[in-house]
Amino acid sequence: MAGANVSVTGGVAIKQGEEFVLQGQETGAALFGFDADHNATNRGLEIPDISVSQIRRNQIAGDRASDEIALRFPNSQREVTMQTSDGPRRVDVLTTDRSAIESKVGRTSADASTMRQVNKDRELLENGSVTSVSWEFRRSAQTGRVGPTPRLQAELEAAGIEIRIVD
Amino acid sequence: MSEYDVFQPKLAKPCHLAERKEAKVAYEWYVDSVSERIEILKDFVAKCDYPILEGRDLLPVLNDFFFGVCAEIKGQEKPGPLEFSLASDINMYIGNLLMQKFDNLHWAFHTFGKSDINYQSPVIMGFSKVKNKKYSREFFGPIGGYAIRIVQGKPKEDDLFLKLYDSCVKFA
Repeated sequence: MAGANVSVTGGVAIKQGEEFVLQGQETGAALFGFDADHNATNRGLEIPDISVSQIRRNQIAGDRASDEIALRFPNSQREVTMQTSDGPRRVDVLTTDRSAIESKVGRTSADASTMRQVNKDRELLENGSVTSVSWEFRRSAQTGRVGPTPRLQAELEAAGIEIRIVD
Repeated sequence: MSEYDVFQPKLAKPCHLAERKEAKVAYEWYVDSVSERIEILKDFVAKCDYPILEGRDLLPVLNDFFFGVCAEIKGQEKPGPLEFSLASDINMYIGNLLMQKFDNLHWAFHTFGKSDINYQSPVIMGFSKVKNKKYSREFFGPIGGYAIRIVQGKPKEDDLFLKLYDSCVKFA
């Protein structure tokens, strides 16, 4: 693996091959999969008032909330799947420094589906796949409610998941 | 001064954006490079005056070393080729360590689920104690994220590399 010394960082000579030099150092992050390919964009979704089921309205509200979160974190990834022993976990927003953010709209209880998400997030935290997990709750325009139920709050805290209420 | 050859990924774009064929070529290059890269990594670590211990015992040393390298550029916008290349090498080291201990574990070309964070990337598969048949692990992402945190000025995470390794042993 021959190459010329092209830069010196803190007493370390870095040898880069011809191909890499041609691509330019500034693209290093992209080559290693750490750049703006999954950029979050503001899709500017608006929730229609009529002819939309409640479930669909909730989905749209959730997507919009996730988009807003992603906009706070440049180059973050939206809706990315990470594997856990219990199956895939769809992460709403994954930041470049590996913080996972789950977006919830309205009041959220510790039902079976939600608890499965909690346990998957706990696993991702414990195995080092992510450095932190936070769940962001926003008030539902339909119900006027926001946040986890007391039981879910306790489960999230026990799992080491940060709770943020955005109101 | 010590010399270090930055790893050449053989792909001019992230794996998940590549054509299947070129991603597969990059994968094969990656796997073929594992032994050589681990030697390059160890050589570099040794030349930087860190002890070369065996097996799992080397992981805390690699963490000390990696933190030191990344901390040198603290405050920059993001890690560069050196830091990401080291993250890639350490990924290979941990993966190889697992495969030496567990015959069922192996490198695999990840081809299912375009939204998967490791789509068309090298991953470790073959875990026997999980119900998820698509369960896979890799460490480049977590270590690259760690590099970003260090550059941002975040503290050293002493047990990260051990955590990555031990959590795989649990499911091997």
